[in-house]
Amino acid sequence: MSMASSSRTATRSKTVALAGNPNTGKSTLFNTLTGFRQRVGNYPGVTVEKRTGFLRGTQADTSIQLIDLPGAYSLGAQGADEGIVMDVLLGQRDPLPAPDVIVCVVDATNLGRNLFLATQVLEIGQPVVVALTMTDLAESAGLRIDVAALRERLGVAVVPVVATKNIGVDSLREAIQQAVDAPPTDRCPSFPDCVCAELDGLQASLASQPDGGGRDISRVEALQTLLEPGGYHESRVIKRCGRGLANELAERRQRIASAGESIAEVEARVRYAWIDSIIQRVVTQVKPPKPSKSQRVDRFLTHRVFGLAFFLLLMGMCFQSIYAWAGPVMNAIDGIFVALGGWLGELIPTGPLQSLMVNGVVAGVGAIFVFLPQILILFLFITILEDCGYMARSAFLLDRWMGLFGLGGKSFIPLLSSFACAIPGIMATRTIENRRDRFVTILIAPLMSCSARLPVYVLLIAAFVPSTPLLGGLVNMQAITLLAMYLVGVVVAIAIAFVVKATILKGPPQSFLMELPTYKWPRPSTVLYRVYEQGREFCITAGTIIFAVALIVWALGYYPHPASIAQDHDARRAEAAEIYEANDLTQEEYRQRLNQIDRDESGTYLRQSLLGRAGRWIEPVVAPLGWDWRIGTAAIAAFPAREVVLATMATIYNLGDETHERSAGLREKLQAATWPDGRPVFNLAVALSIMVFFALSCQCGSTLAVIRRETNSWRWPIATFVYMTTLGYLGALVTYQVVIRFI
Amino acid sequence: MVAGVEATQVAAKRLADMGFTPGVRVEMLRPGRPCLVRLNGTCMGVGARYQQSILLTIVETRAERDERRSSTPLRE
Repeated sequence: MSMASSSRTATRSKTVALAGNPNTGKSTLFNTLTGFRQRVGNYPGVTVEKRTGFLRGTQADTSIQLIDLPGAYSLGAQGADEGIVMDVLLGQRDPLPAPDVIVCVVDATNLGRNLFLATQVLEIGQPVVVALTMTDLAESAGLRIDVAALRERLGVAVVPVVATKNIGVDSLREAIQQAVDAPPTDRCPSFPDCVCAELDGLQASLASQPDGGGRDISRVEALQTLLEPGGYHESRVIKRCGRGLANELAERRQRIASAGESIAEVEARVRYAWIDSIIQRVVTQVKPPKPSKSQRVDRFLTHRVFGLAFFLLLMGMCFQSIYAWAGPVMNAIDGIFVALGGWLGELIPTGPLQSLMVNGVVAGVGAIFVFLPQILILFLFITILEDCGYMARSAFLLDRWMGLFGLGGKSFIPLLSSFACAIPGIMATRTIENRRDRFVTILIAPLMSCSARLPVYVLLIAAFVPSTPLLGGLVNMQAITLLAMYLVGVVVAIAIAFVVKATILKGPPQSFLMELPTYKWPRPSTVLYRVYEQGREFCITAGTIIFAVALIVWALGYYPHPASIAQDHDARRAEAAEIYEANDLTQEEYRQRLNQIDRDESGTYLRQSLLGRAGRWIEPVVAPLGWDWRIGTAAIAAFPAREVVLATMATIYNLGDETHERSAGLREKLQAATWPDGRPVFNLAVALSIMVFFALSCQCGSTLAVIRRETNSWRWPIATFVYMTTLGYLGALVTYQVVIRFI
Repeated sequence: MVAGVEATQVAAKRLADMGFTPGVRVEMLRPGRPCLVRLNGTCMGVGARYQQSILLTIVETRAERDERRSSTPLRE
């Protein structure tokens, strides 16, 4: 056996899971323990983020994998997303093994509530280490915790840590390694006899299931199955053991109720009574409680009027910063890719390879990277707000208003973010714990008019909407039209939210119940790492899909590519050269003529490409919208990224470089475009129809790629694409057919 | 003080797990929907539906609470 393989054999691989309430400093501790070397993904089949890493500073022969579990107040769960914590702790989530040690992160400032989950974790029967965080805040709040007494009461190691200051981290690391081979504790609260009897009976019944489906169901899971009717564990156990078990559970619950115990309250009553008996002995209030800084700040920040005004001001600053800071960087990135494309264009001879590299690869990669500054800046804000504890306050403030649309307060920031770009908006839905609210928010986020729609609005409004003064000259028709385009998305989003929550995501209404954590300074390294992580994930996951889509659209726009078109245009170039050499053209005129020939050549190729043919093929479909084949082609080409619509229209109308929204050339070309019978193609009705189509349809491959990643399923991006495209078409149809009757 | 919880089993279990059990003191910090309460030393936002489920008994006004706090001896 070689030395290497011998060394591999000697290495013992262990798994440690970090569980705890939300906002207990669990992720900060995870980052400190792993030294930021971690892998982020999703648990299979659910939308919960999976974070794993390796414990740093352990003995050379021991490799300890750390799993950072989502924050939870209890092991009881309503849905699969909430059930992840128990699943991982019991080793029921492939490919993760059952943890050898569970580190229960407990907030010292709120020991009572945090120990509720800890008591459930103790009953799992695995070695447990309690990491007592925020001990510095507890001290400043006048709380003295007798750690030795707590250790003795719980029967497990209790280690005070302040992860932000690296205090106690080494002791925790040591305690984890020692706990690997330690026996589990036997100190747990005792349930009433009637509950224990029914639990014993249920376990015996599960073990005797004919196909063995219930044999490996642990006592902890059986308890949650028994005490949480309609919960995740009950439905899973029934799925495994059959419907007969539902009747048995109902009978057992009935017997517990007959013995005078409330199914909903018995667990909380027993656990909190046990916890109270511990707290009385281990916690001493050494200073009189007085309003903390958080309380004083909250008097203003959670105020119905001032708090809301502060929130709106904060959001205004945030989005102004996104526009102001991201704009120049986005332009710079765009410029780099344009320059790179130009350089490659000169380096590679004209042909399919050049077109693939310039218009496919470079343009495709550029389309991904150009969004990066917006994503990084938005996540910088979101992470800071989350880390300092303000995000929970904003959800509290907005819950009432968002409730009018069937959503929770946490949906507001993702939807607001989507006005800049739907991609960071959809990624920001990770802060929404409720699965249904999160999916509804994801579905409607692309309806918010993002910055990529603005150039289309500006071009068409400037060209076809009169600047008639309204309200005594205070505003004009063009401004009202622009506002209407933004509002149409919002109004439709509200309607969609209602419909979706009443149909495919129907369920019992979720109400707001959330702990507002103590304010604290965000840790710069955690914030920066989180921002870096979001950017990296976006580039890798979304990037691969949008890049593939960009290549497909390039191929459709390039092929077939007959040489005869190039030959015809080469003949025109030769003719222009002869005229120039005969001194009948100035150098400037000659240059302009060559540019025009280049544009004509591009336009001719595009018209006869598969994309151009598709535009002609769908002309009967788009004709009721008032569109000709050229608009149809531009709309098809814009499905991967709506930003390309102006460039595509410019190519089709043979304009070349003049493709920005304020380009007089493109505007005049559009105004001059005619049908074969001489009628102008564009008028107010057509312009509004195009704008409504762009406002409502999902023309962004990156958005669909991000929806795929966030929902862990292709079902949702396909549903988004289908419903938005249908809405876009119907909206454009109604707009055209109504407006054309009035002009 | 929480006098009782009248809700579906699911909502009642969730409230109980969070600490809303009969006999527990709840301090109302900001009334309204949602409201802000202090429960076991923690600030909690409680939405309208949960509010309707929690039956509260007023055992002490704010003024009485302030008076009590200023006169409560510290534990040694």
